[in-house]
Amino acid sequence: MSERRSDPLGAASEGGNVPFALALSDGDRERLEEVERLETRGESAVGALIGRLAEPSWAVRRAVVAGLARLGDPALGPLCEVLKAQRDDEVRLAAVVDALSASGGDVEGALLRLLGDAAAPSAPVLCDIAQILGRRKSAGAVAALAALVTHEDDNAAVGAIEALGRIGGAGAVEPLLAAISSGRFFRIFAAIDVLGRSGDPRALPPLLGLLDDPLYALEVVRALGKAGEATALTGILGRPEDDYVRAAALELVELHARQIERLGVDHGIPAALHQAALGTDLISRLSGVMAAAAPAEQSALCRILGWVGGEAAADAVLGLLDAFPLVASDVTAALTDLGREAEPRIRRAIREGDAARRLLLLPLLHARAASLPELRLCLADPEPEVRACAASALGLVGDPSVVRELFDLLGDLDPAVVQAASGAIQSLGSAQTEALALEAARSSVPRIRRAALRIVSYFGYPSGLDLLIEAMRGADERIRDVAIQGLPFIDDPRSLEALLEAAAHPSPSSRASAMRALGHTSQDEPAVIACLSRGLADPEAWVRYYACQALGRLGCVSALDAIVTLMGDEAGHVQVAAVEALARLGTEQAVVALRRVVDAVDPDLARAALLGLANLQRKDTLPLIERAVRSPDRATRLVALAAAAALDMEEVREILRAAAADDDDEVRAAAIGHLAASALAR
Amino acid sequence: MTKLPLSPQVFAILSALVEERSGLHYSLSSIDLFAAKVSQRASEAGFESLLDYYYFLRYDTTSNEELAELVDALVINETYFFREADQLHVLVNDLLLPAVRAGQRPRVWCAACATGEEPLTIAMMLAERGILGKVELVATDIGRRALGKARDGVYGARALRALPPSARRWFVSVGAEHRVDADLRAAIQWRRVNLIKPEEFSSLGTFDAIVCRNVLIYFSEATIRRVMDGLAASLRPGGRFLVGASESLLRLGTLLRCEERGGAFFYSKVVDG
Repeated sequence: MSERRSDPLGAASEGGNVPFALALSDGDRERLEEVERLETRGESAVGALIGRLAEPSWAVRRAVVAGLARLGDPALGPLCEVLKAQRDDEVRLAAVVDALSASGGDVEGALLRLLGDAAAPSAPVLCDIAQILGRRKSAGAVAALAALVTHEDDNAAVGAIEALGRIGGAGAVEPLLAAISSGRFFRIFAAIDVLGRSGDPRALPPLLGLLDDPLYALEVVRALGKAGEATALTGILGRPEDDYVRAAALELVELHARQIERLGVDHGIPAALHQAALGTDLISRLSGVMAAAAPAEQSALCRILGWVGGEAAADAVLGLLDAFPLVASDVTAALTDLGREAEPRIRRAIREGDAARRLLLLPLLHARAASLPELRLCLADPEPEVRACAASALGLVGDPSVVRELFDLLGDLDPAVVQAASGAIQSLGSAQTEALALEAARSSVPRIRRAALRIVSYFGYPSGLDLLIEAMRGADERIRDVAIQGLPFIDDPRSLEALLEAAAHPSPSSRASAMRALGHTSQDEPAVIACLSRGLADPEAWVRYYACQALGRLGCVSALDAIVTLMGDEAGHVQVAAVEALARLGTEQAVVALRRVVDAVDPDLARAALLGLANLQRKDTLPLIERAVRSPDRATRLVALAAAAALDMEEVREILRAAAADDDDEVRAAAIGHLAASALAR
Repeated sequence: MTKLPLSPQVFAILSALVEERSGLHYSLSSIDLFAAKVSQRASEAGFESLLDYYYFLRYDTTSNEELAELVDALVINETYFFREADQLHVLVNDLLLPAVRAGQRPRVWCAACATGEEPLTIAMMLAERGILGKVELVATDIGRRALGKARDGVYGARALRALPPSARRWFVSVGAEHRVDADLRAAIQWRRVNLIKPEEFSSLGTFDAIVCRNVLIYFSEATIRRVMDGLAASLRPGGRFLVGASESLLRLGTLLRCEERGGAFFYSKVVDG
């Protein structure tokens, strides 16, 4: 059997088997097995396999093709015979072409002999021969194919042109250039495409010469795109023919994308467009052809305008938002490309536009003082998303003069707006913030009061303690809970007293909030530890949960036994909190308890235990991690990888390397990320 | 807004829980969007940690309501009137109209209708042809808020960006708000349904056409297969299934056969025998 050569079809797979992911009927499967048995007989099976080339089942036919390809030289003669003389069945013919294209034998020799036969093959046969030689990229056949380019039959000539295109190389270009000058439509058309893909600079002049012929012009534009001729395409943008302009725009954008993808840089297409536009009416030309453009072309024209740059381009791009709403995302991309030049226009569009316009454009505004008037205006927009976006942007601008207006938003009915305003207030700070926060914390409107209390806590204003305590003792549960959570951040002994008081509140939610808040205090306070320990026995599960969490956070080893007991709590989340607390405590007793739950049925328990053991740098965790990395559950594999990464051990790298071949994209990405991080650390 | 920290591990368990309960699939590439939406819900529910929030959703027996709110926040309701209208025109002209003329009363289900633009578009097309009352339209979605908006029928300009001039008559505009004609809204039965739970829609009956466009893209492959099994069972033999222009069911090997009509692609349920 000949050595297997390249397998352009991918038809020859391991052991000759067609992948069984295909749905095969019983009959197909039997015939497939029969083909495999035939192939093992070698040369003597050629005839039988040839007889099966017209198999109705695609899967079985693929196997026949692969088998004949693998048999190599012994199959060539019969295959060429079928190619020449048994042309009544398209399915069989296609299979023969595939088999010859993939064959490990001396196909070139066989086909060149066929070409040189005294009885010249018919045009259809020549087409197939050309196709095969092209698919095999037979450089030795260039001369023969070049001769075919001038064959009297167009189909044969086109077949040869396409084959030369696949083979490539300097020798293949000359006959293609000759085809361009042939005056024959089909040959010229085929040669344009092939020359474009060749990227050979000799192709440029004859291609450009065809631009004035409407029969070929659009194909030339596409070929210039494939050839990467950005300068030529830029020149076409100024032509009077609208469809050429649209096609050139599309090609330029695709060329740009290919350059970025392959090389990371764009070889100056935007800069060249900017230059080309100077002193011309290119911007109005591009805008003028939008109306009749297909969506992809409109998108490309937008991008081009963005690259052209300048205020006029910014005006044109913004004008497209109204006329062509479906290209809104391309407009924002173009405006981003335009950068600072577009900003005055963007600000005006925001001032004058509706909510939809503002939502598109607000993210493009840079965090600069110049944008303040527009952002302020948007704080009063009827659309909550606009208000929230504007509030967030104001936080980035950094001008504290807007703080009062942001406080006005704390009463907004939309929680996202309130959160955005709160975040901005926290970012900005200001001399007025404390007074405004205290005033708002006295509001009769609950949502304002809640937001204001959070701000008081964030900044830790001692002047706000009385308000927090008053809120903590109030009737509104949500306000009470916010106040409780804010108490640890006020540096005053009374805040701890208030927390301990809250820990005994009749409301389970408030007790839970108190437990959580106590985790931010100090374990040096016996009263805190006693309170949290009582919380472990609270009838409400969330109180026990946060008490556990807080004790772990404070490193309170004295509570260990009680926490271990909670691993058998009726509430699943309390069990998990106990595991996480034990992981923080890290004593030998804690480790023993953690090892007991590493194989828990509840995956969250098992994951928490695994991660805890790894964070304790327990080297005996390694076998557990190795097992968890093979878990059928993706989240468990991810946690196991995080656990592995936490262990500072050489063996961990093997685990990560194996996980880098995981079937799941995210697990693979995590493994590679951890490997990279460990490499950097070294 | 301020996002709560979300590690890849917590993202994995949170997104798995969301997918298990709603079918919505978020990959790691969408972690920022997921984090923003979940953070907002978690903060609103009083949590400062997304891991605490996850345990609440996972273990607390009272969390169903919050999960519904979270799903509402996560569902991407990007739709507009007359989106990919060619396909709907073919549905109405080539399939529904002939059925009505033959004396039938075809049933159409818009599964995952979001804020209602799609079923209302179909209702407009039916009304244009004078057969609105002769076709039964059912529209469902998992999002309560979206369904509420659909029932109200009030939309902003963005939803009308592809509206043909002839359809303007179905709206009454007051300022920046545009309300759909009450008769059109009333012609549609609006229901809340989770497509990954066949028990929630089996009572809807069977349909001559199911429209499920630009929805399956938010599901994982395994969920798509599960959903399609349920939807195919709800389709009458010979019924048509419509997916979005960028979607394909050919790889699923279902009972549905792809066909083309008037440039639009449909899947038809193979008739037994």
